Amino acid sequence: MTLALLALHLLLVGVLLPRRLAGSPRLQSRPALGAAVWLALMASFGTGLLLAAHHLVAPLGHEPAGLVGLLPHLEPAVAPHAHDWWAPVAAAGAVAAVTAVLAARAALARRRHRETLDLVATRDRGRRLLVLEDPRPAVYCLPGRRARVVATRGAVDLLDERGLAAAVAHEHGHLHGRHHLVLLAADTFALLLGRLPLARLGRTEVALLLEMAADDAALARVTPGELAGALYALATAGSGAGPAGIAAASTGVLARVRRLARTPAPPAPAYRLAALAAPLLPYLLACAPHP
Amino acid sequence: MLRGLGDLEAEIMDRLWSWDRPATVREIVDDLQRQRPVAYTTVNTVADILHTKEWLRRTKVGRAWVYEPTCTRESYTAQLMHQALETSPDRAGALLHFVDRISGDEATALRAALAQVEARGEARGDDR
Repeated sequence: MTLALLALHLLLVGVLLPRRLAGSPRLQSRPALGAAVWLALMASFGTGLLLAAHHLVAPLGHEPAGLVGLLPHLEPAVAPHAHDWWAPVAAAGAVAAVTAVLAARAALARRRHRETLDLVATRDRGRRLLVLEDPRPAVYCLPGRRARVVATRGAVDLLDERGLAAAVAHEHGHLHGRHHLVLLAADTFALLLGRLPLARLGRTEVALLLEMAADDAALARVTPGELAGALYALATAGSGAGPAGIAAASTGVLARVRRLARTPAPPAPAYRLAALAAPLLPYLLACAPHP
Repeated sequence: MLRGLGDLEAEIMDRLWSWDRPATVREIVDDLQRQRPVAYTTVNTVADILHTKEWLRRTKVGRAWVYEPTCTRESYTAQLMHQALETSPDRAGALLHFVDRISGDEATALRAALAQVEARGEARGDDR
């Protein structure tokens, strides 16, 4: 019974909810909270999976506990179960190891990039950015402790002053929000459970929501029109349709500009609660105290 | 203003790239001193660091080392642009982009969305 409840939970959180939540305007109206909801679902799925595995291995140790244990039942209650801690500890260790490898690889790539950048790029102190002498327009940031915001000469020439301010403010929004750490969590989950809709959709949705959060940070300095104009100019620059991979990622910019055009949907208050409660739910299903 | 060694590294590379010829530490120091006081030994040390990092190669002419960049500024820039433009999911999160390129069909839809944002802005009277 407990196992059935957990399986239902895994199906709901891993498959059904992601399909329902992907592209939700309500999540997009508070994008940082929206990203937190996705991460909470990932945590919830992970906990549920672990508990389900535990119940498969030792079904009797747990059977009367959980929410089922709250129902009146005829047999005398079985003694409260003891937890073996090695399984959760081993699982947490494995997840931590994968996260650490991903983080270290990204940090190394960033450090190498930054070392070269610091020698090659010219500083624009007034605009708080480094300019790279290349005609192809691009704006990006290098997160981390010694963060950098970079624009190519092509981008500086393409955008007007307000458009460049919008792009730079967007990048500073990423850096301030520590968005690379949120992406790292979603990347780790996607690497471990890649085929699952929650992993596949979750990763792209989290990335998109973080872009929207950075857009909102930029709106403190520029108008929606200026930001949308900069997005349009850079996304269509050179009209060089990129490789297929780029086209897939690009649905993001259309969603971002459309979002700037509409009145934000009121966020459902339930999302904040969901972000907090989702990771605990499987534990409640399986291990709630016996009445 | 106190400058870090990193700034000095960039200034040395900048000069050698723009001169486009090998130069001694003395020449670099003389040029730097037109803008601010800087010690010969400091520049010598930083040039040595840049040599260790394989940014500069050097040959001995008489008693002094003559330095020149190992690669052109353009080739390093090309390398950075390659990393900046690649969208391999393998290294997602290493760099965060402002926006990615799109295809021609999507550009039409994006153009329409932009017009909507601008229409709303005019209705609200955004004029910052």
